Amino acid sequence: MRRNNAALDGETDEGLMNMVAKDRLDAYEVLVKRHQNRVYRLAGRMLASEEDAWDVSQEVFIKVFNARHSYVENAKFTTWLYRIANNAVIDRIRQIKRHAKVVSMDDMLTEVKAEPNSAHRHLELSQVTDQMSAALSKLSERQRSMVLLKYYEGCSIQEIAEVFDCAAGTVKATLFQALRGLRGHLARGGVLSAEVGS
Amino acid sequence: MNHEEEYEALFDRLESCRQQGAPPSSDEPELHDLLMISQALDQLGEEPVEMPRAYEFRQTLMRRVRRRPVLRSFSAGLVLAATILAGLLFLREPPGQPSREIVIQPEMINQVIEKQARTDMVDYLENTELLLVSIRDFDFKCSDDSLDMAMEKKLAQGLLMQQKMFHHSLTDPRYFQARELFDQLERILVDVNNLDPCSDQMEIEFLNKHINSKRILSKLRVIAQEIQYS
Repeated sequence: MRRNNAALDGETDEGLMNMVAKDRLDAYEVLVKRHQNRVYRLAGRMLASEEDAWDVSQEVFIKVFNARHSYVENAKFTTWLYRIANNAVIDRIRQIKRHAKVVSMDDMLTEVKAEPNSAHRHLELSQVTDQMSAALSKLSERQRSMVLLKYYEGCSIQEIAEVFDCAAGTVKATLFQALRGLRGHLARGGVLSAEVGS
Repeated sequence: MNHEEEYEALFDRLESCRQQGAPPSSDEPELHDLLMISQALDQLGEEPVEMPRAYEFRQTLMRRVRRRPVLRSFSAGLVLAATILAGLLFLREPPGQPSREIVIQPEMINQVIEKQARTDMVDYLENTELLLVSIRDFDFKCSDDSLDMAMEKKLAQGLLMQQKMFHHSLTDPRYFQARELFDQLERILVDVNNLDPCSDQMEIEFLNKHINSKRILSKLRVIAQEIQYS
């Protein structure tokens, strides 16, 4: 099995998924290994609990496996994966809200730590980290998901549009609005000194 | 130029500054701040997040995936055995009592359950239609740019609960087409339920655009009629 997996390591995601659609478990294992961290990272940044993020990641890959026969051959795998992951995370948030374990969205984001960067003269990252997490939590789920996909996961506008099944222009407008929202929240938190009138 | 086009153009301008590494001029303070925020987000995104127990994650997943066919056949066997046992118990006459005809047929019970599920589905679809129309024709404003969605949120929450009443019936192959619509409606209701009580007008416009592009209202009316007369 290990030798087979090594041979599959050079395969593209789409090639592996085509094999999974034909019930190849070895290809599935390689895909999981390749993307488990990515899915966990996305879930972890939307949910407060490490355990929840781990469980949701399991659900995502189970869904990928269950939906393997509906995968359109050679369709971009990461876009499909993000769509499944995004829906699973939102479902989990809804579940948590229903069970009233977590009420405040402020608690639903993990803290993301970063080193200060000299390039940011006006906006030191060490200052911003906590404030940014709090500001992100104030955005709508759609805005927050788009921001995470664009800036944290490095997705293109077109990929995000496919994940959300909307036009590229709508993604850009939503992202701009989200950034403007972040600016407002950061200014109110005293991180930005700029006047926020708009 | 409407709001969306205006924001789109501003985002393009921001991206172009980001890619060229050229800060916007000082007379554009908002764009300047947004550029810094986007750069800060980029930096925060570079921070590695490692999955704990990654090997265990894979092993658990592979076990779950491999076990599924076995579980399915086991569950099917269990259901079959339970049905046979229930049938035997149901048909057996109690000792020492005069023999009586059993008049309750399982089909009748199923028919009653199905009829109730159909009524619940139609009721749900009618209420959802009213909600979607109210979102389309929004007119209660909190401010110039935000809309009062408190009532719609409450309705959406109620509808999500209502859906649970008949969810089990959707596995019936007869409702294959309806199932897809119910999934779409659930997502929309979740979105509405997650809106702020004073929601941004653009959020609502986005939602309406999605509802229009998927022709949800037309599908909803057709499926409601199909279920009602099935």
